[in-house]
Amino acid sequence: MTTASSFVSGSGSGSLSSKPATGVSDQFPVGLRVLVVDDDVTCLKILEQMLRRCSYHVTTCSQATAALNILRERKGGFDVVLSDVHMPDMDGFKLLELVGLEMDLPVIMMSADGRTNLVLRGIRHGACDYLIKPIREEQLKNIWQHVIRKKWNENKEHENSGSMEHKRGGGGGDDNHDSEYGSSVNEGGENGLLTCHKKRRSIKEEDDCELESDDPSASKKPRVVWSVELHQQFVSAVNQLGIDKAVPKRILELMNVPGLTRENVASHLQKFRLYLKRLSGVGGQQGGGQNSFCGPIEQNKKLGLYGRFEIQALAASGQIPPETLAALHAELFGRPTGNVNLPLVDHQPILQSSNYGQPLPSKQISQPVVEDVHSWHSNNMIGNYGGLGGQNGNLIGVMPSQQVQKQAITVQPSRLVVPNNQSSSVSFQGGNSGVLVNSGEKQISFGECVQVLDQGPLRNLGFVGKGNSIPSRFAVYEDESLANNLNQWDNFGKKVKQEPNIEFMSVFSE
Amino acid sequence: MLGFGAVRLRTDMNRLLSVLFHQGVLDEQFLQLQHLQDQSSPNFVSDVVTIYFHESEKQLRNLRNLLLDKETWDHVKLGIHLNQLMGSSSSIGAKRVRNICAVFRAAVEQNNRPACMRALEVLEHEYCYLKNKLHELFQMEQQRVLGDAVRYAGVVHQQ
Repeated sequence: MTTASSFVSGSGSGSLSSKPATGVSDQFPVGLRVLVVDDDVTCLKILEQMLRRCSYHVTTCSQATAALNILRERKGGFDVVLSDVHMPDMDGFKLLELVGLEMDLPVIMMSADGRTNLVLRGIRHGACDYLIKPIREEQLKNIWQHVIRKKWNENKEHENSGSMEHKRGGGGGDDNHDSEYGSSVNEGGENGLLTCHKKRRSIKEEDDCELESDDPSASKKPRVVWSVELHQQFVSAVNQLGIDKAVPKRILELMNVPGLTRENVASHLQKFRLYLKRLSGVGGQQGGGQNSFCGPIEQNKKLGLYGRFEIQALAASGQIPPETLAALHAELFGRPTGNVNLPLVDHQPILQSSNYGQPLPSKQISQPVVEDVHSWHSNNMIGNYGGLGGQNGNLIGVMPSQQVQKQAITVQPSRLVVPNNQSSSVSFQGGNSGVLVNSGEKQISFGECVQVLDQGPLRNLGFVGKGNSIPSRFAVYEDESLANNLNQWDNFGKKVKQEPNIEFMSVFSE
Repeated sequence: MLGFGAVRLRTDMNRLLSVLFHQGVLDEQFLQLQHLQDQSSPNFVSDVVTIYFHESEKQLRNLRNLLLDKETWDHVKLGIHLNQLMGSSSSIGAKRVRNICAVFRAAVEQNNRPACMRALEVLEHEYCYLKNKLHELFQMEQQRVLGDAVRYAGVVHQQ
C-alpha cells in the first residue's frame, strides 16, 4: 500500500508538471487546459469567460466534429473536455464516447436538460461529471479535481495490474510488451512501463467496442439487466478464460447470449473487476487470526437459532477468516459422498454447531422452517466466501483448496432446489466440473444478491446495490422528470412545477 | 450637472434591474454575468446578451416554423431547439423565458399542439419584453459610460 501511494503522488506530480507553469504545488489548477464544446454560442462565450477567470487555459469550439479534430490533432494538448449534450452535428454522448476511447480524457457533460435518464446516460457513457445549465463559476473552479482523480485512478489501476502481472509471472500475451520495453525497465521507468501496458490494452479492447457500437442505434439499445442467471453465465465465461485474460470479446463469444453486445459485456466486466478489487481491499483488512477457530463455531451455533443476518455480520466484521471456513469445510464436506450413510451420531454435533446446510438428519429437513434456515445458510456461506475470499486480490486464486470449491458447489443446488425431502442427497451431487465451479464463483461475486434472493420482497434492492439496473429502476421516475428538473430552480412557481401544461399562464400573473 | 446625471442614471439602472428581478424576468445568473465583466472584457454583458438575442431569434423562428408545419410533428427537433433556448436563457439569467421553455417542452412531450402554440406566443412575448428591457438597461449603461468619459475628459482638461 505504501508503494501504491508513492506511485500515485510521484506520477501525478510528474504528469502535471509537464505543463507550462504547473506543478501540483501552489499554482496547480492554473493553466489547466480546457476544451469547451457547445453549439450554443451564448453559453460558449460565458463559459469561456468563466474559465478564464479561473485562470484556466480555454479553447472553445462550437462544433463537436471540429472539437474532435482538434483533440485528434493535439493529442495530449488538453486536460479536460467540457461538452454540451445536444449538438446538431454530433451527439454529445457520441463525442464523449470517442474522447473516452481515443484520448482517455475526463469529459464533463453539460446541458439545460437535467432529467435523470439523461444524466444517467451521460454517466453510463463515461462522463466524469454532469453540469446542468446555467453553469456557475464556482462549479468550474472545481473541475480540476476530475483531472487529478482520473490520474490517480489510472495509477491505482496500473499498480494493481502490475502486481497481477508479477503474480502471473509475465505469462501470456504480455510477454511481447515486456520484451519490447524490457530495456527501459528500472526503478524510475516502471510506472511508465505500466502506463504503456494499460493504455495499449485498453485502447485495443475499446477499439473493438467502437466497431460494434458505431451504428446509430447503439445509444438507443435497451438496457441489459444483469440477472443472476446472466451474471452466472458471465462469470463462467470469465472463469473459463481466467480473470486476467478475459476480454469482452471472448466473454461474449463464450456467453453466446443473443442481444448482448460487447459494450455491455465490457462495462460489466469493468464493474466485475472493480468489485473484485473492492473485495480484495476489504479482505485485506479482515485477516482475523487462525486461532479463532472455535469462535466462529460458537457464533454459528447462535446463528441457527437467532437469525439470518448473523453470518453476514460475522463476515463483515471479519470474525470468520477464510482459513477457518476452509478448514471447516474441508472437515465437513471434503468427504466422499458416501458419508451420508455414516451414522448420524458422528456428524450431528458438527452439523449442529456449524449449521452449514449439509446432510442434516431427514427428520429436521422435513420441517419447512429448518429447511428454510438450512438453505439460507448455504447461500450465506458462499456469500461469505465472496466477502472474505478477496484477501489475495484475486478471487479465483483465493479459494484455498479444492475442497472449498467443491463445497461451494455442493451447496448451490440445495439452495436452488430446496426440496424438503431430497436435500441431503442433492447437496452432494455437484462434485464434478467446471460449470459448478463457476456457479460457486457466481455466488461469490454477487454474494449480497444471493442473500437477497431468499428474501422475496427485497429482491430489487439487491440489484440496485450492484449498479447494474439502476437506469431501468430510475426509469420509473421519468414521468416526473419535469418536476425533478424544475426542482433546481428555486424560484420557479409551484403551479408550473405541478401542472405545467394547464396552468402555465400563471407564471405571468404576477 | 454631469455628476448628478450619472448618479441618476445609476439609480435608474438599479431600479430597473430590481424591477426585472422582482418580476422574475431575471435571476441571479444575470448578476454572475455582470460579475464576469472586467477590464479584459468591458462590454462582456452586452456582448453576451447581443449574441443571445441573435441566436435565440433563430431558435424562435425555427420553433414557429416547426409548429406551423401542420403535416409533421417533429417533437425531437422541437425538443432540441427548446433545450438550447433553455440553456442559453438560463445562462444569461433570463428566468421567465427559461421557465416558459420548460413549459413548452412539457407540452411538446405530451404532443399537445394547442398548448405548444400558446407557449410559443407567450415565449415570444416574454422574449420581446426581455429584449426591450435589457436594451433600455444597456442604453442607460452606455449613457453612464459616456457621461463618465466626458467627466473624465473634463477633469483632464482642467488639469
